[in-house]
Amino acid sequence: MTSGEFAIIGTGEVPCGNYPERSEFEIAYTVAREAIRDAGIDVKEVGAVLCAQHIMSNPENDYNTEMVFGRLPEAIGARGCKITCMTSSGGASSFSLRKTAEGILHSGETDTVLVVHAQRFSTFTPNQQAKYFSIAGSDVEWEVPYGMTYNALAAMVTQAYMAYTGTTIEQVASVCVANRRWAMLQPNAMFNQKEITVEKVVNARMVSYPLTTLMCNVLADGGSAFVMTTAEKAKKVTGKPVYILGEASDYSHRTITRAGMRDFATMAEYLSPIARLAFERAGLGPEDMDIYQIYGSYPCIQLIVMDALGMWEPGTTGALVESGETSPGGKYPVTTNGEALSFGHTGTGVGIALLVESVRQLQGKAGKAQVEGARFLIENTGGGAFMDCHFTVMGNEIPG
Amino acid sequence: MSKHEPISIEAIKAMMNLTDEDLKKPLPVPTKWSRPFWEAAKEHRLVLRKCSRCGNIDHPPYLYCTACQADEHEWIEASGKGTLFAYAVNHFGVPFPFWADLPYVRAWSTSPRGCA
Ligand SMILES: [Zn+2]
Repeated sequence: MTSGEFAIIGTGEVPCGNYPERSEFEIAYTVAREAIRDAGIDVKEVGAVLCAQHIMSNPENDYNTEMVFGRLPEAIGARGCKITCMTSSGGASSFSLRKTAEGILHSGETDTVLVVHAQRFSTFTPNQQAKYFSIAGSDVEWEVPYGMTYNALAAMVTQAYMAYTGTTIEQVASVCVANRRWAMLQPNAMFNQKEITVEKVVNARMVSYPLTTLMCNVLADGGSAFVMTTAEKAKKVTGKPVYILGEASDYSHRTITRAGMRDFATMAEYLSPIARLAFERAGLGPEDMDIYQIYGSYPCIQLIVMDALGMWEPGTTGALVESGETSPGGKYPVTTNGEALSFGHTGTGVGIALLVESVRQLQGKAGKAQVEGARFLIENTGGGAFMDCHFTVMGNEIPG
Repeated sequence: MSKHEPISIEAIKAMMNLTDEDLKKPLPVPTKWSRPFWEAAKEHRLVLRKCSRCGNIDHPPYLYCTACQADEHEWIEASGKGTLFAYAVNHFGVPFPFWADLPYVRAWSTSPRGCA
């Protein structure tokens, strides 16, 4: 990919939270129309429709099956559609979907790709949700029989990180507080009504020591969409294209025992060359970023990813977040939609929501959360049990 | 550690409307290539798959060596000794079959053989 070869020109999103009456089909059709309208194009210009995989199936009318069999282009009237498919890499789906879109654009078959995510969890019983989600990411043969949970994995990483860097649990909790402050500015966030404090986060019910309920994310219904095109077309149809300036990726493992990183305490050392490469490809540095859109899912992971950016001394980001500098009004805006912890965990959609928020910020459409004059940002995502990591530098202009 | 009262298994059973089936512990379902590991585990032995061609140890094991793709291998006995690297204490939000065990520790250790 050449820097600035592709651009995102429009986004759509529905409120995140408990909406049992709203089916995934309704979400998908709604966000698709909104993204196309926002992009200022006609739906007939869409030549490819990509769907994110949803999680947990309703056997009576399975969303994944319907999307794989081409329901979406037909339902939204994308009569010029030539290609449709589903792409998934769990939490990293925002990246794999975008890469697929880039490949299709690069092939020349079409110059306009629509990407859609929709998820509804709330119609499943708490037992079904617990069964699925508590063990998601854990290996069914080697971990699940021993009572392993995703929260326990994040808890171990948190313990290791705190021991290694001297970060306090209060500093870890302050990530949740900062995320909540951003979510308070987001009309579509699940938790946008009430501020939380470090004290409240630390004293909430213990889930997996040292993580409390407020340090673990909650499943939510939601969805979002974006329209991607070539830079050439983007310039013609909108005054506000958001360019993909540089990307870099790495895959580490499926089973945590096979992680490519030496250990999870030093995960930032594993991540930092990936971030560096993304910056290099964009021709920019971490200090050029106006926003840092960090996908962590857990507060400690946000700190580890921040440590990897080459912007702050590794191990000091907990103190930085605690100081309020990453909160609204701070010097370094981090994760401006509140992410999984406060925006809501929509399965494969957490990273897609963060990408959509990144586009809104760079288009000046982020409402109350708008970072004034934002030109460049870095965004990351990853899936599985920290199986991979992808960094993307985006901007509303192509640097020199 | 937690200021909150634990929720008993009886209470969660009633609250979530769980059957005895829901409370059954998940068991590993061995694959063709992992069966020797579990057979040895039955005899209280911890074994690892070692490639006979290049010496690479794979855990979890796969169909062939992940370093050189060879089939030939042997099962070597591990000491069972390791170094504790990190741990977590599960208090809440675990799959229901593990509810009766709360609180329980999940530990992460590294073995001298280089497997975690
Ligand atoms: Zn070998």
